[in-house]
Amino acid sequence: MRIDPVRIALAMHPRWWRRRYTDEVATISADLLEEGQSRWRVAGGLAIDALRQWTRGPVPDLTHSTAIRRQVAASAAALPIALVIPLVLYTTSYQSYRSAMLRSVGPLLPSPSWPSPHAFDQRAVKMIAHGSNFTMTPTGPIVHGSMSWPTYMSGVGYFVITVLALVSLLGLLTVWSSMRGALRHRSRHSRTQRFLVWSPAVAMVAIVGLYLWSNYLNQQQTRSFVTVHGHHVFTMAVLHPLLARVVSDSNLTLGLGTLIASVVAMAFLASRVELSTDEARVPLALSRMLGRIVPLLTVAYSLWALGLRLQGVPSSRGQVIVSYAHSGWWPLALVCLVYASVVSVRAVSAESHRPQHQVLSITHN
Amino acid sequence: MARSKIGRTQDATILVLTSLAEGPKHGYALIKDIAAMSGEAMGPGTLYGVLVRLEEEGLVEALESEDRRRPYRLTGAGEVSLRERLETTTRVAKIGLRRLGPA
Repeated sequence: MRIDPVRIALAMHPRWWRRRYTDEVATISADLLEEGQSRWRVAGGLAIDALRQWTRGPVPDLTHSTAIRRQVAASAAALPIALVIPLVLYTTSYQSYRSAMLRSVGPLLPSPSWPSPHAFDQRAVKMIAHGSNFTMTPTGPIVHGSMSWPTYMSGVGYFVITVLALVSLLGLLTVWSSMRGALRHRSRHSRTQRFLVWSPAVAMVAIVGLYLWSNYLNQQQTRSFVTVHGHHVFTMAVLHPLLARVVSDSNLTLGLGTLIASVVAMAFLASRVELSTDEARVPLALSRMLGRIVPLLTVAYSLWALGLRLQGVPSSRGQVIVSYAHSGWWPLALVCLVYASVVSVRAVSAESHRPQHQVLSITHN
Repeated sequence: MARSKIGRTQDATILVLTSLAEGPKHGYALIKDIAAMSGEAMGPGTLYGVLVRLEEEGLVEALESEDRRRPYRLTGAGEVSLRERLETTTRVAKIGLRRLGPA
């Protein structure tokens, strides 16, 4: 089957635009192509216009349907964050701490021969936990404030990213769940729609199940402790390496879960769903909240990335630096976040600055 | 020389409004008229980006049509807006030319 870029570019437009303009623009495009204009040039112009129509603030009331308008605003505000969060979580996954002092004593592996081969003294046994340096002494652990301010800034950014990502994920799932509830009352459903109605619930169960399994229910996961003078100085999860890679980082699990749920959401919103005023209330309120979270997430992510860049290398005094396995992707994630912020803020703004006559029509619905 | 985005948008708006000042036209006729007027080929993506905005602002309106080529026409507000834009452009052009001096 031949791929027509013009048709693809037309299909990229928002639904309200397609309903109103697709036939008209397709006819004109066909005329221009007959004249010998480049198919790719016409398609490129239309694709850029599609982006413009999605990102522009006000949605014209051409369909005379406030339900569709609400739906567009809600999905435009919520979808960007759904698409960006997996990338954000990917870049912030596989966190590790390094310290020059730690390297000086060799790897801290639980071993029956511990603490050999290193003679135990105040500097010999060190561990890194939650971003702090611990030195084990015969009298107990001493915590050193060995993190530089960029490392702290990055850590705070990471914490905020995690919280916002979790809140967003729960918000998204609640939006889809409430839309699912509204859809279930529709009498006629195709098989695909029946599947989509249940898919947010499946995604939620999968995410929660994976989290519980990785943290509490997995019998293979045990912890090993090395005790020095009555203090646990090292713990380690015992898992198959591949399994450990998948389940040990809940960020990645959540990211994958969000990605799955996002794909489901897009398919869900692409189906023929029109919500009444009552049905749209919860999804719309949550979408507005999600739309406002994106700029905060962008700020936190910028702090995180900036901190990583500024923290330098571990000093000989045992300064801790934090690193992330996939942080090299941060410029891409940041660009996506900035774009998502613009889209979300404009969508929220468009919804909240609805013309007065439309507000009245909603009130009387 | 590359023009700014705002400049491009304003140019496209004036071109569409000016073309419609002659009378109602459908999209294809607009593209042809604008090409004849300005020498620039406006693509359907750009044209409909402008038309959607102008329709929303109430400066143009779509007319009923039996076929798929829907004509558009200027509204009263559109005429006023075009006149203001052209007067501003003319004023700026005159000042600019005066400051440049004779060629």
